[in-house]
Amino acid sequence: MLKYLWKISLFVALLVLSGGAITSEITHAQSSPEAVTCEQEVVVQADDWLSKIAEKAYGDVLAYPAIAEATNLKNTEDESFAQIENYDLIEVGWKLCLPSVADAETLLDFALAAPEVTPSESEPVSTDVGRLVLATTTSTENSGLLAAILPDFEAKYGASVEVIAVGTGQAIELGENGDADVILVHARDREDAFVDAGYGVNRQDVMYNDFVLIGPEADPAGIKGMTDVAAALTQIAETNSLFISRGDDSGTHIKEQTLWQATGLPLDEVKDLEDPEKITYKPQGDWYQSIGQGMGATLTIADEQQAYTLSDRATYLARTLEGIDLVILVEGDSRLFNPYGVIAVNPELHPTVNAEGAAAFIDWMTSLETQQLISEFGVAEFGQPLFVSDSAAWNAAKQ
Amino acid sequence: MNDLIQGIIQAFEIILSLNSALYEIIWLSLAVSGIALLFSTVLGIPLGAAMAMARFPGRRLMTALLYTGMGFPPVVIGLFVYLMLSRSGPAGQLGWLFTPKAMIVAQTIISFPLVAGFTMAAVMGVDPQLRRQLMSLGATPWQATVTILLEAKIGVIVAIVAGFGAIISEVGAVMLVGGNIEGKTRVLTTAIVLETQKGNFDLAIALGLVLLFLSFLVNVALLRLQGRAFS
Repeated sequence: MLKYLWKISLFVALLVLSGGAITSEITHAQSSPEAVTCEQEVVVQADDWLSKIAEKAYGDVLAYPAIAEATNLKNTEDESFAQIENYDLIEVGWKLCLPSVADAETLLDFALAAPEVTPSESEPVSTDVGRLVLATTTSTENSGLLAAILPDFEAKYGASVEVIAVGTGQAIELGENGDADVILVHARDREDAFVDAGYGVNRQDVMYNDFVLIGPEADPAGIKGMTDVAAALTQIAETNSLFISRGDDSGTHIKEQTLWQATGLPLDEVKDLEDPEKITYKPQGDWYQSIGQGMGATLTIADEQQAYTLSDRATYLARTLEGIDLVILVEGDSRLFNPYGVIAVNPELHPTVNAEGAAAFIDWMTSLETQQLISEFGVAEFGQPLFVSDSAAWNAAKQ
Repeated sequence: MNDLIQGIIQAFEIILSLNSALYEIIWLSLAVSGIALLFSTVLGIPLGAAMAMARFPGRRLMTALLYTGMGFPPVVIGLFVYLMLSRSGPAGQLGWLFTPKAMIVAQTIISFPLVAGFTMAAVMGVDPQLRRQLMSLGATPWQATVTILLEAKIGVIVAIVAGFGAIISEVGAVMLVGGNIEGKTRVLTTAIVLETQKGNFDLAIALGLVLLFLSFLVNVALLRLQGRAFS
């Protein structure tokens, strides 16, 4: 009996070994396509980038590595084709090779499945970055942007991103305590203070969206169509119309306070119990209600009470799909501008943070491909993008 | 760790600072939970006693429902109350949403099964012969019930304590139906959530300690009542 078992296990071991050999042979055969045929040749125009061309040709922005690799392969036999070293950087006049869909898929499989075999030719990815904690504002999560773009990062970098969606104040505090690896927030002054105090490194612009003043269709304060947001707020105050404030120290709440200050109305100054230096400004009167909750809850309460409130456009538009009745009354004032920045938590201060993952995330977030994804997010659903791409690489490519 | 120690120091500073906003929050917490507890006691003790003593069809099912209610997630009750009181809900005309009234309704529904369930258990623990004795001595059914409840006093007070503990510390439902409006519906638990979200961890811990201290005071008072039951 024992002898028999031994024979079986030997047989199984042999099977496994031979199977492995066969598999590795197949992988090898796949990973070195001898030649590639160009179905189409494209000369780079101004304002072109690889993912844009990829989307045109294959309907998928993520197909861009196939074009780059096919072109590089062609370059070895025909010098008129370009040699692409940095996939984010192509120049006007370069000749590109667009392989057939089948060839592109072969190339993509190999490029995405085994990047470590040919690191110089594939994505700028070294190893899996693992678990990454991202502390961000509720607007990026509630609008659905992160759900739309993060899978791309997770696939490319072998990461699992844990999103903690909170107010800007708490997101920054999480960064200061080293409980997050990277933060994505919108409160420029606080971001700069965070970096200046040594808590964060490598701050980069990512995108912006804007705030809108929304309220009931009936518009009791009569502010519809006004372009001066301070004048509109003054009118809300003068007519004692109900206004719901986030009151949670979030980026939106901070913006709202600066707008009230711009009205010149008399404001109550509330000293923070914890930090007397920090003062919250709010107009006087019962019509102003501070609820200390996130954007989603604020919209729900404003809708229930048919009140005015300040919201970022992304969260507001996302909620209109779920049937809130409030409408945009004031928009377009330059003071309603809302830029987002991404900052890595300083690994020298908190050695346990995933610094490699944070750096990869920032590179990815500001890369042309991701910026392209951001600029397209929401168009299909709302007929307008929710965020405007604004990274340095994106703006350079746009010029 | 630093936040924790600082929070404890700050808790005392804040309590002693006589900050009016803080006392407003404490007062509202006690008022909302106190009134809700009064309602659930008035409704829950008779129901619990009746279910322990009376025999009627469907009693088993009602007991099962009551026990389920004891473990019902408060936030789901909050959601239910919210939907009832919403502008588009059946009781929307009342205009109770985002007022302390809505919070009292939610907390009453949360604490009522606890008070009734524990009362039922306490009354069932009283010797069943007592009722027969009382009746044979000429007591009316009402007098007999009151005497049995007094006999089960310790357990009934535990029922009230459990009801209070469940609602004074509850956050999901009051956040949902109260809206955490400053100076209007903000209570200790929702203020703790807010300060945590703002990154004011010290202040959040200080408020948590205030809540703990209040709970302790109320329980000491109730236990003194229970203590007298022994003497």
